[in-house]
Amino acid sequence: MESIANPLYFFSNLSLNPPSCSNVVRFIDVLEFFFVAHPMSGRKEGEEHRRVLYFHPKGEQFERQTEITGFAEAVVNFTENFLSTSRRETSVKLNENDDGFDFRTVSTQRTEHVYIRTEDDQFILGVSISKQLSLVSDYPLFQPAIRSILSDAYKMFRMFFGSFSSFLRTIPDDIPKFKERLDFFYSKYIPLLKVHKMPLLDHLGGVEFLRMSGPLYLNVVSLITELREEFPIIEKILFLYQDKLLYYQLSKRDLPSLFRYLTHNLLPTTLAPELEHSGRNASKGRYLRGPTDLTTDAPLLGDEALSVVHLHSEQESEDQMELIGYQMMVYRCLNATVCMFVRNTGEASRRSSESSQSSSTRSSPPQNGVVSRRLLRNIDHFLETELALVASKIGDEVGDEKFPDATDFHYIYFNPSSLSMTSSLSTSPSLSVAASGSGSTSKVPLPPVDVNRLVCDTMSNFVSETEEFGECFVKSSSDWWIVIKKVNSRLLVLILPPSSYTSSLADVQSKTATIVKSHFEAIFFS
Amino acid sequence: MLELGAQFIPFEPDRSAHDGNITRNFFDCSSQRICTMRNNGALGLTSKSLQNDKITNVRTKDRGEPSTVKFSSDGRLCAMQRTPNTADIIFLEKTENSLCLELTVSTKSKEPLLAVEWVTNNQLLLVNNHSAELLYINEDKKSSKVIKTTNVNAAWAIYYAPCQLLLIANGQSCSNLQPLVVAHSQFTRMKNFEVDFGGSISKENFLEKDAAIATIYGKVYVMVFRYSNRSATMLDLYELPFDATTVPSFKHSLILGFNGGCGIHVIDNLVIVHHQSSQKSLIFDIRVSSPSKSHSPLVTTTIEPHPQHQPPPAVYTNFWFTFLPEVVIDSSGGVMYSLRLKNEKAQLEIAEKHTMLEFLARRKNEKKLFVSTLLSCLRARALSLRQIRKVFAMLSGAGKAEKSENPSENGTASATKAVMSCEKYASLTVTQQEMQSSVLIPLRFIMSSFSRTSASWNFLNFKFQEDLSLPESYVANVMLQYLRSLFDAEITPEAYLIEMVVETLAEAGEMSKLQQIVTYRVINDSKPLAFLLLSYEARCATLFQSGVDILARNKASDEIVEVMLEKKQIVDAFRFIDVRNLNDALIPKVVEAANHHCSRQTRYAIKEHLTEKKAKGIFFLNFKKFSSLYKSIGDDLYTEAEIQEANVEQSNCTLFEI
Repeated sequence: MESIANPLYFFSNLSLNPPSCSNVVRFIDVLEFFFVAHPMSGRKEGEEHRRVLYFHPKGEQFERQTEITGFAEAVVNFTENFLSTSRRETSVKLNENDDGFDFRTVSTQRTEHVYIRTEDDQFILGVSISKQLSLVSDYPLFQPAIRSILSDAYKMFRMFFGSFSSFLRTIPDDIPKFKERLDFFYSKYIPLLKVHKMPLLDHLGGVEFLRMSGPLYLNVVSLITELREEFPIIEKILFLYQDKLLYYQLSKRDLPSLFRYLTHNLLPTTLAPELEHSGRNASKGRYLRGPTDLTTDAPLLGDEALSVVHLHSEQESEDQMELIGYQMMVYRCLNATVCMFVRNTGEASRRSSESSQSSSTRSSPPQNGVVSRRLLRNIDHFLETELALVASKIGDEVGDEKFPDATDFHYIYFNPSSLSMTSSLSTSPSLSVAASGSGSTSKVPLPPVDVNRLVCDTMSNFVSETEEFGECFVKSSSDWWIVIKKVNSRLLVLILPPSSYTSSLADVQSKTATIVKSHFEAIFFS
Repeated sequence: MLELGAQFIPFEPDRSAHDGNITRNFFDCSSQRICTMRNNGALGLTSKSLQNDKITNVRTKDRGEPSTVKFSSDGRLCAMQRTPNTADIIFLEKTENSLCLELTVSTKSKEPLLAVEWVTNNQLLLVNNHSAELLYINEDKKSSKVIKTTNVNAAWAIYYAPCQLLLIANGQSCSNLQPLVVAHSQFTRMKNFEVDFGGSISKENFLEKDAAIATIYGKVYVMVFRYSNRSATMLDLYELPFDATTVPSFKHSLILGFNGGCGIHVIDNLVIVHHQSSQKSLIFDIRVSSPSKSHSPLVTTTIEPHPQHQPPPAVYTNFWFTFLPEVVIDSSGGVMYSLRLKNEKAQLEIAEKHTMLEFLARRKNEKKLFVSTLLSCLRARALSLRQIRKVFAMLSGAGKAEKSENPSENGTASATKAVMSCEKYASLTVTQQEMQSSVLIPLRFIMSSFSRTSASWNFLNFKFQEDLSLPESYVANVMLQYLRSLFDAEITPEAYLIEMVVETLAEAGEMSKLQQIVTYRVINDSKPLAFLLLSYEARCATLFQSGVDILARNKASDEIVEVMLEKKQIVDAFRFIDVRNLNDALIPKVVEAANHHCSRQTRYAIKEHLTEKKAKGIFFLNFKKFSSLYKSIGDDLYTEAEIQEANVEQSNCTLFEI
């Protein structure tokens, strides 16, 4: 256990209960079951249960587990026959483009099932949401969102442990190990997972960027460039301020998962000690995780070892699924966080030797990573002054910036090509409240569940995923207006509360034009 | 790095011939003239200077051997001290029997004179132990008049002509210095200060020869040799303030590292100390950052004679006399030389490239050399990006720093009046155009010379056969650093620079970086830039978005319509025209595009839309034109065969109904 304890510290400090009035729901409250199956392992008669690699809830009977996974497999295989070749081609194409997965959905009276197939259709991940429970929890069911949640769960595991198939490529008796890892990860991940009452946010899965003036942004860019020049060993880099992204140099495919992990898990846990120690040495940067004592040259072992994450190689064109292990260093100073990734050579050698012999190294922690205390010390030395300088400049500018006047509407903005997403229905409540104290900038109440549902329905029924342009106005029975605009593949969803100014469609159109003009001026939304 | 005698002037060396003829030479620091007197002027008085070719040649009465000879700056008058207590004014342009007229002056107290100096062309300063007197010399009447007298207590005095500054030493061991500004016929006392000259039993008094005054980087310093028994000699620099209320303060200490005879020069804001016995010259630059006030020599070098002197003269001889700022007099050879810095050798002498570049940037009139050196450093990748940033910040920010410095200077001036002025130091500024044409564009050429080995670049004279592995990303980063320096200095970058940055980033394949930079609007909006970004769409889809955004921000609606049509977004183009109430002239284009690309249903819808618009009378377009347009979309909606088929079908239906 000690070997894998390392990357998973992140699930520790978070409170289990979301605030009652919040706009998130615990996933477990609506979940019926969740599983990971490997159909190939259950081919033999009588050994069907072997295909179940992980099942939630754990108490479920073996027979039922087998039944559910078998059903899923059957659905997948059966519907395969009806997929026209053209559809299959597009699905393949989709795979290449945005790491999407082949999926099936089954809707029953009581439940909503989603299955995805991963890694050359070897594995099936399935989830079932209870319609009854979701009604109780005010959670609108939106099938694409569930699909995204499921894919995210897979990607998160993959980020920390590598692909599923890398476990099976080794000798068969590694399956218990694999199961152990799955159990270890998902039995913490699932109970702590929170989903948004506006499922669209989970579905889009973007990252939030910090608004900043160009000249200052150039400071960030040049700091990162200088850092990379000085330490060419650093291959990928991520720069955050508070809980917002500023700059990244890594594959876009990894960005959402990594961002989510950092803002939802890693950074909130570090906030408390930071608040405690505020005052003394405030501008001194430090590493989150990893060794605290940098003065010695002792090897990094055990608790002090750096976590390893598996990321895509940056060249999008070459070898699509290739995942490479990287040691992650997280350095933080005055609200600015720099994540640096160094290729894990231990990992690489393991991969190269993988084909020839079994890899027992997986069980041992990556002690032979290239990151040493010396390197950490040098980077610390380099960042110490410069990062503090840049961070305080950013702090000045962000602090100076007046909080946008409380808006009288809700909005979701998403740009699929840059993955930039902002929303008045805050996506990371745990940090933004604590960090900026801004809370919600909207003075209107959160939209009721039926409006949220209507937004989702409108999205799936009236807005084409492939079209780059589109426009749609919907009025809910409770007099809320929903405006969906899609311009140049950017998506803007406005949710306008009932008011006397929005009685007619023309009113709403002019209101939309005003909002676009005042809040999204720099962006082309005709 | 030091060259002797690019400028030189020969004179007749001192000699005492057996025939009784005596030749003596004097150097006047203030006017920088060397004066040769033969037989105390009876056989002639010749004065020459390196700065101008005017040679004065006169004869005076032989009234004894002078101890000092001083010329007024216009060269019409000469003050000569032949006795300890009096000074003689020689009217060089008034002669009688081919001998110059003279006038003898002295201080009121008739005490021995410590200094005789010309303050202006007709004001003479006389200093004795107890007073300093300013005399007005009337050349026409050949008379003198005391203008101003002030009481001082002087052991010795030196005068610094560029600032009209008189420095008087007094006190026990003469280490208390009293600066006085002699300007506007007034004496202005500044704060006195104490210097540490390393006094000891063996060396009780601070001597005149151990002090000098010079202007370095726009500040006036008193330089003082500090001797010590234990360690080597130091040269301490005390900064004199411009006003009369601030106390001069100790600012820098130059570590000489030797003992023994030496000479000082201050050339182009550098302090150069020559050491005779080791035949070395130390060059100090007080701007080179140092953790403490102590400075080690930046360069240790040896003076080399200019090749025009054949055979080359001996250097560092016993016959050498050095005078500030740059004069070397070889008394045996009878030549006055100027010393010159050869900055082009700095590359060889200063190993650390960053220091070397900063050094060059601070030199006068070396912009060309600096720029070419910068380019070669960048080509060799000899600088880290952080150092590049600092160099650029110095270039771009220099003007701004100057500006911010001046108001504060004026601010203090209003409170405490400046009584002294000196030559201002102007730091190097390299404009954007210069930077582009002589650094960034050549870098791009080098970068791209791999892919484009076009002969047309040969005019730039680059040695292409050198190691050319200059990665595009490096060039792009250099440009970004430059861009940053401009932003930091609040200078608006030119559109051309921005385009070059964008292009270089694209060539470097740093699409992700480019996209983020564009998204954050690091680069200013311009239409050409928008089109440039649009052209990169194939390589990075997001840049297309950004390009359209820029067009939208520039209110370039027509172009947006064009772009939409290009992307076959015909309906949206139409909608856009409607929303923005754009010029109707665009509509034919849209219709044409619709005819080419749209399905029949869409074309029908467009036709209907146009009909509706027409009905509402929105069109201002001339009707004839519109009707032809209308026809063009309506006409080929159906082919003849289809219409016929439809007719047949319709008749069949009616038949069936019947």
